[in-house]
Amino acid sequence: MKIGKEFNIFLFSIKLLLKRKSSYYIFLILMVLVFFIASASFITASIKKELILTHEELPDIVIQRVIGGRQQYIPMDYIDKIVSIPGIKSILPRVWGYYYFDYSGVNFSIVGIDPLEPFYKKSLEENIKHIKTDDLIKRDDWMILGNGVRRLFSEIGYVDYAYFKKPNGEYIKLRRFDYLTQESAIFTNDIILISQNTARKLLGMDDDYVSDIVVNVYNKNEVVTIAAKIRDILKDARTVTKKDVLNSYQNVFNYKLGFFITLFGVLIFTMMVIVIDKLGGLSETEKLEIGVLKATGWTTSDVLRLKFYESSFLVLQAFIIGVLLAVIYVYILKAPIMMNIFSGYASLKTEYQLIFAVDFKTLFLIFIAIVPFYIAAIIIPTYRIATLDTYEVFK
Amino acid sequence: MNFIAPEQVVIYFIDFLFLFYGLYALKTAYQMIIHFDFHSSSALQYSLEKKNILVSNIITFFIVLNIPAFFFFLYFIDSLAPTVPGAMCAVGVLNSTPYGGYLVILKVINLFLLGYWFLINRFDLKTYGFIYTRMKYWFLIFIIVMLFFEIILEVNLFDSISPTKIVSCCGSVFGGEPKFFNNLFLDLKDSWSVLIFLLVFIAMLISYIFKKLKFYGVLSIIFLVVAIYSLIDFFSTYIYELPTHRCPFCILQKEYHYIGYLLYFLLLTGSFMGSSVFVLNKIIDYPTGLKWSKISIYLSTFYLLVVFFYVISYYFRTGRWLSG
Repeated sequence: MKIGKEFNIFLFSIKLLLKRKSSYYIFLILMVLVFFIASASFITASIKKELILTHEELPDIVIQRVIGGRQQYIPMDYIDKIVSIPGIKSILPRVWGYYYFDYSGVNFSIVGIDPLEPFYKKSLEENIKHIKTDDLIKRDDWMILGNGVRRLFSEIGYVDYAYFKKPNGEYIKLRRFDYLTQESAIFTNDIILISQNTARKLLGMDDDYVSDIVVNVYNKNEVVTIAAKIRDILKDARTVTKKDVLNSYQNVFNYKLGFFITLFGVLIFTMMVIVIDKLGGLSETEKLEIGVLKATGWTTSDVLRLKFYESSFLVLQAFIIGVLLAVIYVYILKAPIMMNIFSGYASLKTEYQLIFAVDFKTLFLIFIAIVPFYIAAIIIPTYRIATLDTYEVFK
Repeated sequence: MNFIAPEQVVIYFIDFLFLFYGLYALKTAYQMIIHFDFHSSSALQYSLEKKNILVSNIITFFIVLNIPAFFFFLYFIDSLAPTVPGAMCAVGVLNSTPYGGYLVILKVINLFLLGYWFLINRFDLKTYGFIYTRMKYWFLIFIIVMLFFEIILEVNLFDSISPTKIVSCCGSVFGGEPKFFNNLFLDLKDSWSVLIFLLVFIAMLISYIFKKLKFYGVLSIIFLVVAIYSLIDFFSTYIYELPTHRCPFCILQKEYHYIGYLLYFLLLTGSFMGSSVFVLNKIIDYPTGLKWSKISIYLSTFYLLVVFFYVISYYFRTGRWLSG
């Protein structure tokens, strides 16, 4: 019986709500807010998911040589020193570095590969599976381009050949051999694969030197110990484990989302001001409504409940529709403009796949970032409405 | 200000709401204590009676917001575990700073206090002449101060979480090393905690049967403390099926079917209803007290059955007890 009465108040509240124009404005504002915060959270969630999916491939330990805070090239004989540490599965030297392309002001990652040696990264191996290694062995002046580089080169007419500057000012001409496939563009977008000899020339590296050394271990629980042993043997080496890399990635994206939410904190308060303003300036019809209700025997707490139902109905509707719109925007339209904030700042922007990642936690975060503030904004206006005097209204 | 994750911004926003409305409630409480006089018919008295409604709305809002905010906080701390080296669940993160343990306890206390205030207020509005109003507002001032303390602790906690310091995970915190959580409770070993837990429960049952409601209320507060201690010391090992894993937070995780949320809900609600019989014994009438203690004893019994279910089902499946 009591539930029946509550339900009737609820239905009545919706009827009143639909009659009023201001409720549509408030609904629109709330919906837009939910939409923005939800889109930002969805993008972060799916990028994080993609990172976690791809991080399986990262090497367990990367050994760098750091002197005076600057990374140096590592002599090859460092490998012989650590090869006897038990538990190591493989040690692979890497020849790679950044090449500053001053025409467009971007950095490419130049990766030197030896077609006969195994790859340190499985996805890259998958990527060049379709390329015949025989052709690569015969000559030295080939290059394989990642997707971002491909697009940039085709804009400036580097279709079949490209010129690169060596540290001593001489140019070398490389022939385009093939492209990398589109998958997992997050890591291969700015990559140029070239032969190890050419890479050494471009990076100004002597023949028995490498950029860094990648170590994989059998037992993942031993990573920290083995890293410590390596640091013990190689005095000037720094080790970076898989977990360090993943944490720093996560922190970067958390930081970006946090920046976003802080910005929208400002918007939330703007919304609060608008809502208070809208509800505070009671219209004559609204006053009359309350007056009639009170004159027909409604108590203050009944009116309070009426108003509470109104606003919770409003905010829940806005929440649901905003989240649905955000799902469509992010996962179907692939987040056209907002994505630029999350991908890099250089003109070689990474393209993410945006894996579907909507979970309860994300929704809870959006919910708790919006709903309490709306409810908080309506407490005082609601109270002012509910405590109106019948006498004053009809005067 | 140390910035860790976006959830933290949301928590700060919520804290700001508490701060804002807390200050407003403080101002109203001051006016109430100074000026409230039921027999006066001045305009001031009239507006104060209206404000009474407003403040009770604000506190209701606080409660409704505080419960999800509490779980949001726990989830957030839990999700920080991968970024703090060594931490595997919320305990590691909380323990990495000196404030963590106190903050969680303070949050539970504040939830209880807000709930008591809500109940007192409900009875006060029903009485002729609002006889508890002054007392109610003194109590409110106390609650708001406690809430402010909570916010200060929370800001300090987030400021001192460091992603570079190595902390202990729950296994070593509760496994016998002298750490904060161990200092806080009595250092009981083996199954003594279960025995005391059962004794307190039996005492509760007896006092409920003989309708000693005041005594029952005191016992249910003791029951909460003892139950949490025995949960850490004994029952959690059966939930994890690992004799060395003692932790009150890992049961909130997915691997254990989120059973922790059910357990804490039963335990907290049960002991809240029970203890309010004691706290409000001057205000409530006998049938209400009886009703509350009935709800409380049901919830506590249900809690007891759930935790013992784990122990007994383990025994039936493996034919042995865990002894750690």
